[in-house]
Amino acid sequence: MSFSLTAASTPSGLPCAEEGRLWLWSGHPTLAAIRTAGQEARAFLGTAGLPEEDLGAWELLLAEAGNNVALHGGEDDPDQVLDIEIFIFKNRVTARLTDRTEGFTWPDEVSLPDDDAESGRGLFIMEALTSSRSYQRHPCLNILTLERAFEGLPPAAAPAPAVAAATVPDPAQEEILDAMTEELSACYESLSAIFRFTAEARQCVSLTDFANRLLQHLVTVTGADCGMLRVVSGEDLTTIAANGCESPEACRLGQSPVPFENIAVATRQDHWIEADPARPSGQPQAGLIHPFFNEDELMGVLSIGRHHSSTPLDAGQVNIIHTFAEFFTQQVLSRRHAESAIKASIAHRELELAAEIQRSLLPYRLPVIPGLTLAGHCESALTVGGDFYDVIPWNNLGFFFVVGDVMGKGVGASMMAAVTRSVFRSLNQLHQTPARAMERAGRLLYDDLDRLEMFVTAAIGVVDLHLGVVRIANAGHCPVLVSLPDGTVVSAEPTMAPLGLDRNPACQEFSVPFLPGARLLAYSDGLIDPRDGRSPFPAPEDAAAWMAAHAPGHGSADDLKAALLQQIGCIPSEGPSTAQADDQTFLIITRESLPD
Amino acid sequence: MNITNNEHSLTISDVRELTAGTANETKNKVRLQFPPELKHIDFNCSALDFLDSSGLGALISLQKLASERGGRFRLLSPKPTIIQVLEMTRLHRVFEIVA
Repeated sequence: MSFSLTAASTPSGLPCAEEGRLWLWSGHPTLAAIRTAGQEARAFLGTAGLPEEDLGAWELLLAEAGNNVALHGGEDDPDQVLDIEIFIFKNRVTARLTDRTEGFTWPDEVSLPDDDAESGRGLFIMEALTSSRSYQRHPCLNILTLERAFEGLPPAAAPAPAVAAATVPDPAQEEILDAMTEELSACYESLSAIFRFTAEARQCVSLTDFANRLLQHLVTVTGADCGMLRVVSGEDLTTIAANGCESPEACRLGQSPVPFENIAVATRQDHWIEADPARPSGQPQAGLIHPFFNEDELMGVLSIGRHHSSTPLDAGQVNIIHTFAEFFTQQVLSRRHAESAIKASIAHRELELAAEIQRSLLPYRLPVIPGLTLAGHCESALTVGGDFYDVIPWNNLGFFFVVGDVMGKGVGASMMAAVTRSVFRSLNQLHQTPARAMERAGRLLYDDLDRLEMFVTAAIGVVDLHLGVVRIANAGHCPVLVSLPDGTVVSAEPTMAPLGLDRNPACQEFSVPFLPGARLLAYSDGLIDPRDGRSPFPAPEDAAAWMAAHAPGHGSADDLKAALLQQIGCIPSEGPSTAQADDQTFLIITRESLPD
Repeated sequence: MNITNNEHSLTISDVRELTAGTANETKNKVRLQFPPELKHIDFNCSALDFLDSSGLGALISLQKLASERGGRFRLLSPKPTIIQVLEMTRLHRVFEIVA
């Protein structure tokens, strides 16, 4: 229950003044009742013309004081009564709360509890919001007196004209407007600065220049006089911008020479610089050290300080610091992303060029020689690979062929494949004698392959229609299979180590009849030992068996190629299967059967 | 009080007062409606007109709740009077405040 009185009827014992008004409340101190009392007291003080700031302060003061009574036994005991008396003086307001609970001890020094404490701030709030206070604890009575000064009530004046009233600012509303203006100003400052810096960032300003401008602006708008922006570089924190303070050298994370920076990094929380008489002169008296992150990754530390003042940064300024740090993080991430994209784009283009070059090294069109049909296939496991084949017409009597495989895959292997192909092409005087050509190629390529720690397997041969033979030389490559008209399959096994392993290699040559109805298959090891999947020909004998079974039934090289592609599970229009682990290359030559 | 789950965080809004009389109820409701798959909590203060020391304790409790799951706790759009209470108790440096 509450009611208000004039000064003339002030109860005895309450400080009194000539001018004043009294408000009384009495009731059982439940939390809900105290809250209602606080709202009613605020309304009473509002009618007296107190500033908005004081109304809010008294609403909070009465809540804290009354809650103490309720929580110290007042609420649970139905016989308890709390009396609240408020008296408005000319320049101050006094409140007296009387209760009959056990009470509590008001400490000599009231301080804030730890940041993570969930209680213990009520007394601090009461001290902070009052100009004086006293707590008298008696055996059966406790009296808390709170007093708060204010600038004074506005003088009572005759009613002003309506127009004038509209133009006279209300002090309470002015205060709210000031607070809102300050907050809006901070937001506007952040926003406009971010727009401006975003535009700068697009103009290819270096990150260091960008960081320095950002920091300079931040120091200004937060009323600070020094700042430092340090970013993570590897395992170190490196200063990227400093304003009003000396830039330290790069340091290991968590071992910073900047005061408190390592604490902020270790705790991953803002660290506040607060007034400390023991702090050496020349160091900031107030400020904030803000570690900023991208998800869990530490990106850097932004420190803002004041040498000239120990006034702590307010919430709006802290908000600006956080916003700028987040904005800077996004800029760093954006630049990282752009750099990665450029690198990936260059690498992708290089791969495309390499693949294009490799495709251009394969025969654009296989030679047409009456009596022979040819079909080739070369599919890399990656964009580019180390397999190749080549077919070169020879004296209008046949042609010279090569099927090769450079150890490894990718751009390096493809480059070496191009070099090897060129070497065999250059040995045109030796095409008639493949063994000699292979030995010569071995000597020419040895130094390069040895230096690169690579090797090349190759099968070469020459089809001689005049003599009706195919002469084959094999350096470490898969056997070249020749199916004879009677169904027999001859296997031309390697007779020489791969190119690159022997400086002066010696090679033996196979000479196999290649009469009408004969078929030849030269292939790379991608057909027999793919590394992560099923092999169509687990062993070379399987390839020979397949040749024996299929060669007689397929007349042209294209027919035999289609059958082989089906066997290895490759559909040409769809490219290599996803399971293909190795390059797959083969060359098929068939000698047309004589008409019956 | 309105509690919404927006897939990334739990948002508490439409709280006009956070006081000794409402703090426990608020904490309990949030705990009950904080799904295990979420870890972030946003407390929308745009409707909050009054905050006392018990209300501050409730906010710290909610911050711990998010922190236990490795999440963040933010105060969104607090009014100047609320910011004054946070600054007075120096909790503006503890909470992430989004104006």
